[in-house]
Amino acid sequence: MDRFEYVKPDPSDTVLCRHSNVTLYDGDYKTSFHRGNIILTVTRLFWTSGEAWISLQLRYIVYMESVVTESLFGSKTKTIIVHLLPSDNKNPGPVACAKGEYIKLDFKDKIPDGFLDVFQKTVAEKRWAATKIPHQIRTGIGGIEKNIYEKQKASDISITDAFKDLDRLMITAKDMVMLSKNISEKIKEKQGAISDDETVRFKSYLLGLGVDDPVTRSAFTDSNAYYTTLCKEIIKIIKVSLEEVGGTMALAEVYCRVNRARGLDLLSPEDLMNACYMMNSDKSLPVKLKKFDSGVLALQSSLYDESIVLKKIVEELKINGSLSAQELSTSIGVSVVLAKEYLLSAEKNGKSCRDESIEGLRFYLNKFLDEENM
Amino acid sequence: MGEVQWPWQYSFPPFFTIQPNAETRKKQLEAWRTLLLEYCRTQKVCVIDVREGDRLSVFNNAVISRKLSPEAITIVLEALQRTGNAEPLDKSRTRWHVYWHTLDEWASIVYKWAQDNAMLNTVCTFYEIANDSGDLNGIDDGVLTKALRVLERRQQAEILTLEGGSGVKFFA
Repeated sequence: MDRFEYVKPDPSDTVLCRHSNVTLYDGDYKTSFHRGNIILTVTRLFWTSGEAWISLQLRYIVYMESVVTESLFGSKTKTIIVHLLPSDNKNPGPVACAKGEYIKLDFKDKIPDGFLDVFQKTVAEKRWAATKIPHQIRTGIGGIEKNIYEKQKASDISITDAFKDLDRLMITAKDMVMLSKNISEKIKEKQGAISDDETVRFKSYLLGLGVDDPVTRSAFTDSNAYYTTLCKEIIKIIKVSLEEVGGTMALAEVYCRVNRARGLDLLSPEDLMNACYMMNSDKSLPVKLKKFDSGVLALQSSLYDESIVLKKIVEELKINGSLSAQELSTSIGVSVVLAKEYLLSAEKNGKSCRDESIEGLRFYLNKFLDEENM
Repeated sequence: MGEVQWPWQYSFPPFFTIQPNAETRKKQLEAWRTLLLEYCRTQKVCVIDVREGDRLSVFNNAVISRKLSPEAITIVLEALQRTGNAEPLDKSRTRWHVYWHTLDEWASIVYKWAQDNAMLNTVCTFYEIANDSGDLNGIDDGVLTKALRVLERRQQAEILTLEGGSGVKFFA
């Protein structure tokens, strides 16, 4: 009964049917709403007696059934049980707390012919849901434009919603970066105490992680300044690992490392490349962008010495007899692309010679030139 | 025809790939020149068809499964041509004469043979020359003709057309 509210019918409402002498039951309990009239519209069921009007929104109705009542004079069907959804009614109504999850409509004699059918059909149609969205038929360009505008507005709202979460994530990410920085600093302090291999590796991971204040495009109005600053950031991130791998690192690997260090606010490959091009315009920078003959781009430390790498390649060749780029890359821990560049530069310097066969390209020590030393 | 003494390069896989490095390539082609001339000399090979190069064991090392491609064979032969040790027989440069002695050398060898065998001022057939037990044994008719033409230019011999073959008259 708590789904009922004090509402009078709107004059514009269409009355579907109207019946008199109906008593309302709350669950199985008879209420004071005795022998009144009921009016059914497309959205509501009204009960009225004299000046009193109460109404039930049809959206609460789950289903209804008629009940056969046995009496001395035989059986009659004069009651409809209406099962309801839980109440979310905030408007004032006659009952604050219901006695049951259903109500009964009790007709004096029998259910009028056709009422139950009309009632069920009205509920099934759910016209209240349809009337909520204004269904306007628009024609012409104006209509189409309006539709497009509305669609845009809807997608705009959903996009804003979606990115709200990301913003929150970014705020947390800053804390994470701070945390990782703290850990790495603590480890640095305790450096003497730690000697275990794994700890060292973990440390190097942490040191490679975390950029306190990533350079973002939004902070700059001028793309040139952005690239210059970005270029410095990249050098800062990459310098240590660059020396570890022997002074040269292919741009793809640089890209991965820089973005791992940034964590969020990831760089596009294009931005990275443009920033790396800036390295060659400033002579004082310790890292340079090098383009190999094959077109492969790589960052190269200014400390990089080609002869050291060449010596290393020759040693590897001496150990293995012959090498493919793949094998060299695994044995000295550089990418395959770079390994191939190394081998080609060794060939260019007359240190190695190639063997092209169906098995692929392999390189051997250059016995042609070193014949005397063999 | 004895077994060929293969040099170390023959079992070195990069030997069968023309090297892009200029200096390396030079050394490689020198090695090829020496090997190929030695091979042709011992195996009496005078004509090489580039397309069928891999039938010659010199271009095809089955042990390390490496072959010299037809393009590479052409490059090797061109290197030989520069020292006068080879000459293309057709415009498409697919058939080549290989001279393990240059034509000048051949000419001198043939003339010396004639001197040593007292053949000056007499006519002898190509068969006689090619069936000698010495250096000239098995010499290709085409190569011999070319060598004799050199002698003709030196006015030391004259090629004659005989019945059933060619002959040559050496002048003193």
